[in-house]
Amino acid sequence: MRAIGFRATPTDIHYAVVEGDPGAYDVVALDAVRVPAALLPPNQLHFLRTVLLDVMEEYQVTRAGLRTAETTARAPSVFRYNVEGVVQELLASSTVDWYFAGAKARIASLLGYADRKTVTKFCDGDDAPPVATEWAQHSKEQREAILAACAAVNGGNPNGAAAGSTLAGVGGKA
Amino acid sequence: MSSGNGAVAGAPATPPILFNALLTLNAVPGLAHAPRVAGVQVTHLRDIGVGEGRHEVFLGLDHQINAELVFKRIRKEALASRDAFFAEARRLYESRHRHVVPIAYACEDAAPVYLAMPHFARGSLQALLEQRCLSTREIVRLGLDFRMGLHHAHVRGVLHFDVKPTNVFLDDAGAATLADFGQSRLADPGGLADTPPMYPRHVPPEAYTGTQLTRRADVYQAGLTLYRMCVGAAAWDAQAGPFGKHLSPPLHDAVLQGRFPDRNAFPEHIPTRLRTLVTKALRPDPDKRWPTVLDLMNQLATVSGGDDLDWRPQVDGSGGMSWELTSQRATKRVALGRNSSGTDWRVEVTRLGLTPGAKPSRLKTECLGPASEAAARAHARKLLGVS
Repeated sequence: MRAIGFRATPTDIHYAVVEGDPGAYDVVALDAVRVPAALLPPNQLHFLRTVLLDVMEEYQVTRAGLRTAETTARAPSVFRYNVEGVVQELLASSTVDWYFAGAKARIASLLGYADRKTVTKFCDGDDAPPVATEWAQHSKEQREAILAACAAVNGGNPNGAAAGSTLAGVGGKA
Repeated sequence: MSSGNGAVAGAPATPPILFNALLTLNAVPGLAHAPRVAGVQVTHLRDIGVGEGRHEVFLGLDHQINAELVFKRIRKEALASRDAFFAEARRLYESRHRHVVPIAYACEDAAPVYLAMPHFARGSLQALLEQRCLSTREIVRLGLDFRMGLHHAHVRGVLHFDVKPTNVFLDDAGAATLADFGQSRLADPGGLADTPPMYPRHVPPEAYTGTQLTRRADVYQAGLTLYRMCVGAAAWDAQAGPFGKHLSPPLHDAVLQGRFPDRNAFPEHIPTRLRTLVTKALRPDPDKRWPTVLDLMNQLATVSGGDDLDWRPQVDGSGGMSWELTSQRATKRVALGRNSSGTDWRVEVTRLGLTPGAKPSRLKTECLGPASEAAARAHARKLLGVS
């Protein structure tokens, strides 16, 4: 199974493509799309949506996950929220079988951890998940994109849920 | 092709119906339906252009849907096989995207094949470049637009091989869309495709020495298109004109040696970051270019700035250049050129009031010596605030 995970910042959106089954994952691609600094926000969002849709097609992913900002973030970026909204719309209009959008608690739940502290350690590089990659060499945003992709591999209705039908963790806790 | 009598109710000035192309609906084996033929009735309105002796492009009225469409008429004898007739139509259909010109339908008559596409009233990027020069922000926006279409084609395994300003159209929203997949090829699993006939001035260096190309050839052509957006139509014509319109040894040498196009001809308002990324896309060695269109887009995305991205350049007849920047209160103008006697270089800054009849006020004029072109250009760049 192949899944893509996204992590947005005000200047980039990182994506990771992961192949595997629950508990064992390989990173197929790890890259970012930059937000065009010279464009106005509506054009920036259009650009991101268009390019990310092609990235999803290029890697033929069947699942997707978006790591959203924590609701308790001390200095939230309005533009990041905008980007996350566009990515959620993109997931809804894509052909993936299943997707989610959620913060660390939602990712922890999908990965089978009791609380989000384990995921926080993964994100900070203090511990490494069972992913075949040099975990410590990636940035925090890249690690979060990989974790979102792994969570998407784990998630979904075993009976085959339609896209959007299991978007329970949007922007919040599991 | 059959020429009708043009007696169509409601048609303007009753021009003759150009053709009745046929759509043949074949019988499905096992079903009792007989083959059927459906006609498409189109009136020729005006010619738009002729492309490389192989096809004609005209604006036509499709009477069935009452729509003005652009028709590309390709002579069958110019194509190698029946499969080739609709190859372009198939590539366009495979590459459906917001930034790829869509195909309305394709059909054939006794002699030609027709491809029907939407009409873009705003015209092509080439037409825009012939009207005026572009600001840096426009270059970035339009450049990203058509690269999105090109990236999409690459994702579908289609290599375009004919990226140039005449093949980029502006839609009603002012967004750029990529057109003309007539030279496009499907890449093999290794990413290679046979070299098609190409527009001579956009032939990538590796096409002179090899028979197969990769997507880096499209990166080169996309970079060259971006280059032409930076320097403007007049400067491009001045550079390309001496090489003629066909492949020639001088053009071959200049491209392989990295002398054409001139990497030092960027106007002063083009920021260093944009110059650098375009120059890298034009490297004669494909391995030293940006590997993918997505990489090129990511680099274009890093071009940043404030008002300095909005200077509108103009070329004057004497070889000088000026830039205007309009704010809420006034228009500021920076002019670079030789003085009236044609001896010294000078840079002039003028403030133009926005109210009708307001007199322009000259803020600063600096004369530099006759051999000070480089200093004058550097000074103009500083006045434009371009990094």
